[in-house]
Amino acid sequence: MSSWRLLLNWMKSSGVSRRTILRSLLATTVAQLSANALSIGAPLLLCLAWTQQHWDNPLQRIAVPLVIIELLAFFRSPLRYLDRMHAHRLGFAAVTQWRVWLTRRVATWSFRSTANTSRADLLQQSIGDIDHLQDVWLRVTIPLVASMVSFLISLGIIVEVLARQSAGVQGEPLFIGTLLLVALLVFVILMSQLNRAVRSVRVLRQAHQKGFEELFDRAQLATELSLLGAAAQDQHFDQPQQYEAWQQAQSRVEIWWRRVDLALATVSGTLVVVASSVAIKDIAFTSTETSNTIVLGVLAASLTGELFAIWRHGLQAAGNAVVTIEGLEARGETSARERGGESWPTKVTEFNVQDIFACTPGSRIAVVGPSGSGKSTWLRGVANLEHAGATMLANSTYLNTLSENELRQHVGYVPTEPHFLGTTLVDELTLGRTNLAPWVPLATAFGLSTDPSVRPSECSRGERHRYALVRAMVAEPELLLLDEPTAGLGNDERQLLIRALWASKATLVITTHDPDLIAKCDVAIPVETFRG
Amino acid sequence: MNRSSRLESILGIVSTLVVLLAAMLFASGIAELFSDIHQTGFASIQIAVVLRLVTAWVVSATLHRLRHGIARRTREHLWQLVRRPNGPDVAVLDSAATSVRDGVGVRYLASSAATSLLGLIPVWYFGGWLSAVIFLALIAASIPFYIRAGRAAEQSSAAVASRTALLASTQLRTLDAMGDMRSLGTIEYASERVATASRASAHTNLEGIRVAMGSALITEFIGGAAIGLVAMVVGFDLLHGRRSLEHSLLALLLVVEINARVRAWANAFHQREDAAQGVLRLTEQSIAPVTPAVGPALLTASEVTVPSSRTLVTTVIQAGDRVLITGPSGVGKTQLLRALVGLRAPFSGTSAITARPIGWVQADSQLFTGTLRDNLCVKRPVETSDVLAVLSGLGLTGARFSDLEQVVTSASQYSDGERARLAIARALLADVVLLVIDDVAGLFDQETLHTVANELARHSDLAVLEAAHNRRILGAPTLEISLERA
Repeated sequence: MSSWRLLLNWMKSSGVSRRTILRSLLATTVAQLSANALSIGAPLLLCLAWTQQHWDNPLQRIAVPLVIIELLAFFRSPLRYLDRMHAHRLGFAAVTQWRVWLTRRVATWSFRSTANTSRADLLQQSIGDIDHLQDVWLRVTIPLVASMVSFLISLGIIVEVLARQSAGVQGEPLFIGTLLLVALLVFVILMSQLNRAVRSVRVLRQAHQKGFEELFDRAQLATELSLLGAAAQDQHFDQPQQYEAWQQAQSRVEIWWRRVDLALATVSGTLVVVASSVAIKDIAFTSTETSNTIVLGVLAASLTGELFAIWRHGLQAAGNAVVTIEGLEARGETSARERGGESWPTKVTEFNVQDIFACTPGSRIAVVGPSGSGKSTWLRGVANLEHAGATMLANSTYLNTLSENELRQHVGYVPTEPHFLGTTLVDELTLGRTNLAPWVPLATAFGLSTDPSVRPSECSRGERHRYALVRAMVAEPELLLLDEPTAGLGNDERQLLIRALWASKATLVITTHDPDLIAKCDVAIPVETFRG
Repeated sequence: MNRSSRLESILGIVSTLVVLLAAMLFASGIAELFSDIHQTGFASIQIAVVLRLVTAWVVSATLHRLRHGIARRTREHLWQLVRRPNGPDVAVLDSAATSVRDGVGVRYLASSAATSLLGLIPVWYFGGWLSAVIFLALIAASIPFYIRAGRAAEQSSAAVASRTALLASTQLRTLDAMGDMRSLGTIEYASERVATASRASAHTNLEGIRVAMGSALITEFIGGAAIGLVAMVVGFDLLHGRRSLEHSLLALLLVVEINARVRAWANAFHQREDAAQGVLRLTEQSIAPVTPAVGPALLTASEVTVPSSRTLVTTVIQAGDRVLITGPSGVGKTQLLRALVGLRAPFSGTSAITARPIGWVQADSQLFTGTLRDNLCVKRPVETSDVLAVLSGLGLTGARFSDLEQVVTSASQYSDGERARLAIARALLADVVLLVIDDVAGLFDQETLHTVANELARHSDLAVLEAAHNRRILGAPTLEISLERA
């Protein structure tokens, strides 16, 4: 059940308007109905017309159903077109919302223990996962609901048509009731198998990934050993167990689905056989009306075959979607605060750096320590980008009382490796923020180009870093946290950067190894000082 | 492969004949019920239903077995390919193997569609020549549309794919920058950017789907119209008493069945193409020809390029050279390295290499099952003290590295950084003349970086070729090649 709840929650979070959903449901239901009408309704109509006693004109008896069939055949493909277009529109609208969700969520990931390469993989995988989630609407919800609705309507139409034909026959209510009950039962049983489906998908994906990794590792090793000229490399390769296991898992899962298919087909086939038996037994077959009832049984029961197939594909898509969602929700290291769902405190306090670092505003503070002593982590913690940091900061409660928005207003942070969105200069530097200082003089002070067509993401490493400083400084924060601002820069570039930085009114907290920079600061504090 | 495709064809022929028979039984069953011959009619319908069920089951089971067999053979082939040293692209191989596997059943569909056309004979017989001719003519007329639909789908899928790739790269950039965006308090701005890109892409996608579906629907339309016209023909015959109800129904249901089979085959258009391409990819994994260089040069490259960069690389690497290749990620640094050492053909230009053995160190260096000594001394036996000296030179000390006889069961026993250093050690112990380092500096902290750089500096005869993204091992390269995006 929890898997269905998960899907339901995600559907709710997609924030698609009710109108879009209804339109898509309607389109799919109508398309489904027209398909039913053509495959089941057409022969029924022909037969009924043939046995129709009330129409005297034989031309009418045939022409009316034929015209209806013809219309159905002609309208089927445009209906199907509308169905698909509406469904895709719905899927795309939902995916847009989920992409926004992912973007916000990634902002809380810390990537601390994640190497650079796997970080990209992680993001790429999440992006792909979100793309596939279209199926939640496209292949699960819409088909399941629409098929059920169209099934009920089809039954209703058949009953109505036959009731007009053969008043007084008692067989229909019993038969239709049984049929509905069986269909409902199959639906419940099938959908209760979601957890099983989820498990099968999970096993398959894990096995695939493991198998693929193994294959990949072998390819890497083969390259390395052959370039070394190592002979007899074959002896270093053992059997591809994981890859083998994947193939077997795939085969097992396939067999399971095949069994489900067989079970459904058997139920549907049995329904046809039993339905007609019941109808024959219950009703003395003496009249044409009776035959109509039997035809009803056969035709209505054969509707279930189509219905079950749609449900089964819905189940499979649901299983895939659940595994994808679980993966998305579990991915990324989020801070304890976010994971616990704890909201940001909203109490507004006057921001005062003096209380935090026990220094006068506008000081330049160097935070020093050997490589690997956790300077960067500490700084990220101060910027509240890392939950571990808060405890390391003296008077940390003070920063924690600020809401996220206020914190960002007062505190600027520039990492060693800044990232940009990949657009042009003005957008990159302003980022939709208001109340900014003019960026042109700042950029000029840092010796940067102010040509609006420049893309900071494509600039050299040093320029990127300086653009990131400008980006943070235009918001005029009172406290500016800088992570190794001079690392990897040439001497001229370093002097320029220090000069421009020192022109700022903000309090600077700088983690660094650079002796020149340390010498320029008012005070150098070892990072250990801040550990409780 | 021949045997299994023959089996598929036979399966398609037999199952289609059975299904056509079932359709005829079903039709006559209904007709009999209407003529109040209940017992026979009832039996016919039941037999038809059971026949269909059994056929579906046999087909599904046989195809599964075939698929399993092909998967096994493909897997073995794949395994042989991966062992080969030319560094095939594993992702391409894997997807090729999958499409070959998924291609099972296409031949079944083809033979089934062909066989179903035999059903036109009873259609002719029961429904009259006009029915058969109308149906055949419309199906034939829809063939060019099928082909066009396939092409349109292909084109639009290419357009959609490029748009999707664009969206993915926008997203990737934005997601990558989200840490910065949070520190700047601009999460909303960034997510709005993603939403805008997503909406733009949805628009293109819908347009692509519209084009592809529009084309495909014409064919569906023709199919539906063919059935409708046949129904019209037999209906009027029925009306004028020229045809019995049974014959009319027989013709109609057969036509529906034939149409379904032909459509199923046509819809497998992409599956068919993919499978064929998969086979092609698996069979033609060529090894790039390596031209031996002459003279003292270890490696001579002349105007070598890779697809994603516009930089022409011309260089001669000699003993003791330190060459650094830089450039943004995705510009093709790894591809260039592979092209330079002859693991793949360059996009253009030529590369000649005499250097053997070559050390190849990458971010995901692997270890095989065996002792640590086996893993390190792959070329020749080396004294324990020499091995330990190299290891400690690279900063690999402590109990985990001092016992060379310990068995490595899984590469994940060591961290990525340690494995990269073990790969360097393996290369140094194999007396390589050229060490190729593919962007591993990011795995080391500052201190380790210095240690490794110092160790490499001690080997003054060794030529080092390093590709680096932002951090680098080579502090003072003798040559720096900067790749620019195309």
